[in-house]
Amino acid sequence: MSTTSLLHTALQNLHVNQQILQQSHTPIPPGSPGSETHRTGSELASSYDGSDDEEELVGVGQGTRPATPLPGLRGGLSLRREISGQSGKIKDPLRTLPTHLAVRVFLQLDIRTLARCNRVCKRWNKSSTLNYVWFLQNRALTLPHLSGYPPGSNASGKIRRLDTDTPEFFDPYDKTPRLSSLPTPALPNSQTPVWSKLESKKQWKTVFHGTLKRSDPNAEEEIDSRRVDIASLHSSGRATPSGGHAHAGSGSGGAAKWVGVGDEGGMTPTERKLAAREGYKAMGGRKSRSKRKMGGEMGARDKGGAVDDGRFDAPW
Amino acid sequence: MSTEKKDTVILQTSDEEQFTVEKKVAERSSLIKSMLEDLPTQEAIIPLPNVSSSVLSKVLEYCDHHKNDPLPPPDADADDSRRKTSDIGEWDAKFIQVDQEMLFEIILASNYLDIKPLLDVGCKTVANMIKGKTPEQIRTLFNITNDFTAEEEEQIRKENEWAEDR
Repeated sequence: MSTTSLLHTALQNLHVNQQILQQSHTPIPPGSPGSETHRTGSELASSYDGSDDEEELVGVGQGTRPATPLPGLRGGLSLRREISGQSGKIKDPLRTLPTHLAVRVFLQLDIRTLARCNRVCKRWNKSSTLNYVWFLQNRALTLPHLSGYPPGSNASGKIRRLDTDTPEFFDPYDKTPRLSSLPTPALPNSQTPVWSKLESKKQWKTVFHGTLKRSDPNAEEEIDSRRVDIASLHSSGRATPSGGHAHAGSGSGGAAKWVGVGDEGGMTPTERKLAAREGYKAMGGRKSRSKRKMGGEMGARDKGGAVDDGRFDAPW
Repeated sequence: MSTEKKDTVILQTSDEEQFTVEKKVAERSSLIKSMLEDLPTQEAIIPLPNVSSSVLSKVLEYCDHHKNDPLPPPDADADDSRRKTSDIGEWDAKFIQVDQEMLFEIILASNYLDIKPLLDVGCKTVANMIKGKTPEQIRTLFNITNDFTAEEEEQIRKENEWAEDR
């Protein structure tokens, strides 16, 4: 083999190597097969900046702690001490512990303390580790099965018992859920956080609060107004309010109120239905405008819920 | 399973110190256990480049005390064992009464060595330190400087009011 051909081969190899190198730096295009499924940590790191796919799974803690594994405990700690320039040791668990261990620690906190953690300092407030903990807490509320609660475990009282017989976690009439009685969410199975880029951008403390409010006994105004809405929907839509009344009667708070509405003007639901029917007959074929008006009035009366005979001047 | 293996192993720490340890004790670490299963030689020294001697001796103290506990199944979920032992045992609580630096190093070492129960005790201890504290107390605890302005702090405090006093 001549020297030139050897040189040629060597150059070719170099070229190929460079190509391989370049390929490995190209981000995986969003939507290519497997780009949204499980990834290893290194893949995550390499494609993190390149892709705008919101569904892509991303890590926690990027930018908040050194991404490279530390060579040794001693070395790592002393290095970080130099960087910080603070007197004494770094004791901040969010900086000392890798993300999955910090998650393990903060997942054990009660909600009250967890919320206080956001007030400690700016770093803690915007920490994606803490946000991920809120994310897990919220998921434990909404999807208890996904969060690894075995069905039938009743370690934490009533809220836990619900998921044995209902797929829905929230019972709107359940007055018991309290922050203090919330179960501790299970640790995620994987050490790398599993959430999408879109999810990682949300403020999960706020979302958690929203989820909690849905069953909060103190938010009575909201629940009441919603109940009235449902009842009026039933009555105005079908012109047979009986269904709506029965429904509202089963509620705890306003039962008496709704019974009162049912007896309004001495009309039973059947009587009212008949009355409405007469009204339609009187209108002949032309129904669109007046019918809507009538329906609207009935709806408004139900919504108000007050005994107001003046409003009973029906058009028929 | 080979029965000819010696019943001690030698562990070498990051600062080159060697510990001769009963195999039963060392196998509390799932990492060492799987290493031993893979190692054919009997004279092997197991290097532990991520653990210093001061931390390892503390960790081994834990392993020695718990050497007769039933081993958790190898693929058991971390949360499974966690749920069973909801509180820290008496001995463990005493054992983990160390300064914060050592506490964090024990957590890191038990994570590296894969000693789930010890990792659990460590994380719970840190959590217990934080629990019920005010932001100011947490700052003092971890030597953190408050870098919020008064207005910012007040704003977050208001945002968080729902979580207080329940």
